Amino acid sequence: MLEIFQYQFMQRALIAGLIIGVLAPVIGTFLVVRRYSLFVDTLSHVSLLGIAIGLVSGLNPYLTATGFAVVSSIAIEKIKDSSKLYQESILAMFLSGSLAISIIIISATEGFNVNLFSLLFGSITTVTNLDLVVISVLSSVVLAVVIKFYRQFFLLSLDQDLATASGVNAKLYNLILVVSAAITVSLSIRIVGVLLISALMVIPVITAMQFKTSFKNTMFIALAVSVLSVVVGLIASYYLGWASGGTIVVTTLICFVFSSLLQKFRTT
Amino acid sequence: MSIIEFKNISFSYESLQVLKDISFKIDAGDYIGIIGPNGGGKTTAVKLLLGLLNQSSGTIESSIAKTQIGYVPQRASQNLSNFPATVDEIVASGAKLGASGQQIKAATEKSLKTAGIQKLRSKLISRLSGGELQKVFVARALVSDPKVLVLDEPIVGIDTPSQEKFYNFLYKLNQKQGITILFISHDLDVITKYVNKVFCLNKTLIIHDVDCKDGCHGHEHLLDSNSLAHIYGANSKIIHHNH
Repeated sequence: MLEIFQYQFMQRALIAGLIIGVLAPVIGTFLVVRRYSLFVDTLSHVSLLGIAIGLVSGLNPYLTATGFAVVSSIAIEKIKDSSKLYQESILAMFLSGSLAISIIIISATEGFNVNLFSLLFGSITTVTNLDLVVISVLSSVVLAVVIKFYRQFFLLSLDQDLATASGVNAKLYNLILVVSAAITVSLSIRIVGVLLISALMVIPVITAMQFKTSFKNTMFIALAVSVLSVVVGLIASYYLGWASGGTIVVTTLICFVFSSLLQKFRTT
Repeated sequence: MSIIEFKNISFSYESLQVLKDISFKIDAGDYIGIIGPNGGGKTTAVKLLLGLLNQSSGTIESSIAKTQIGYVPQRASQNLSNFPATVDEIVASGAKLGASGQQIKAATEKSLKTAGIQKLRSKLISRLSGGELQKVFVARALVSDPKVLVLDEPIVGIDTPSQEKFYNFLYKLNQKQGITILFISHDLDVITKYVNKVFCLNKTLIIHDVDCKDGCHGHEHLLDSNSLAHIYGANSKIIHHNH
């Protein structure tokens, strides 16, 4: 066994990283093909607000983050369905609005800065046993939902009218998908932090899309890229003394560049 | 026998009236073409039929379930240029919800064969021609064994020879398998060549019935000056000529 995995905190970090490494690209695939990547960024900023309120109120910040992300994802869908506003505009409103309130809370709170760096950029090595239980349980639920409703999510990603005409309750399954995404985002905060979550949900998917293969294969390649990036990023960050979240995301970027070059060579 | 009936249907998008008091019947085995100008309400009528929209007034009576209507959406080919999926995956996605893996596999196999696209099954949809992709979406619609097939401008972006092949394929589905077909088109040639009913839709509706005793080919005289004026809002004179 590598030296770093003799430490319990690194074992927990690896397990948490692997779970999120599987979950993030699976949900991310359905969002990316619908050109809904900005949704992840928006939810990550909403989660930051949830964390800020959790810290101020003394509640578990990761639970408040999950709660805020879930409620906001439902609100975004409702506004999208009932108003004539552009989808991107609604997302931008939630993103900047929650960030603005977070900044106000953070700036008005003493002793908060200690946690800020790890919230923004992740602190996978501080994952506790309780975190691990929460991450395992919620991730299992989300993965079970994806397996159960895979066909509905695939149809919605393909064409909403086609899905409805095929008997899919589009509003209901859209809601289930965005709530699943919200849970995934809030669980990922520990691993890569608020500002880097979208990288873990989006970059492995667009890397996989370079291989131009089936939907299922795209999802599996994205999953492999994500898991590989978590493991390599975690080990590299330990030995190089770099921030783990940043190193994981840079690893996903290297995979993307590599796959793009590979595809260019194959087509020329 | 009538399977779907629109009774005095009107539909408005807020203050804009798109359909005004239209009534029609769709009989089992019909091959219906819908023509009309942009904004004339063609897609709206189809969406009402599929249950994607709700009418402002009037009733729609149907003896078949919504899921027995197969749908090929407008410009399917243009929105999916980067969608990572194979022909197999797209066709299988049309299978009834709740079907087992084995049922989906069998239905997909049958549908690929009917559409004559077995050889394309492993290909990515982004690598297909417009004509091939439309066949894939028809195959997808056929997987659920529909009674009615609805196609919204299926030949947009397809070259003329492929259009001809595509409509021949639909004609065979109608004649050999008895599937009721309803499609939207701007192509008067196609409309007059294959269909047994024409719905001329420009907010209101004019229906032309065609006697199909001698087969449904060659109805060059189907559209008259009145219907063309209804559709395009301009007076016209039809000059018949021999090719």
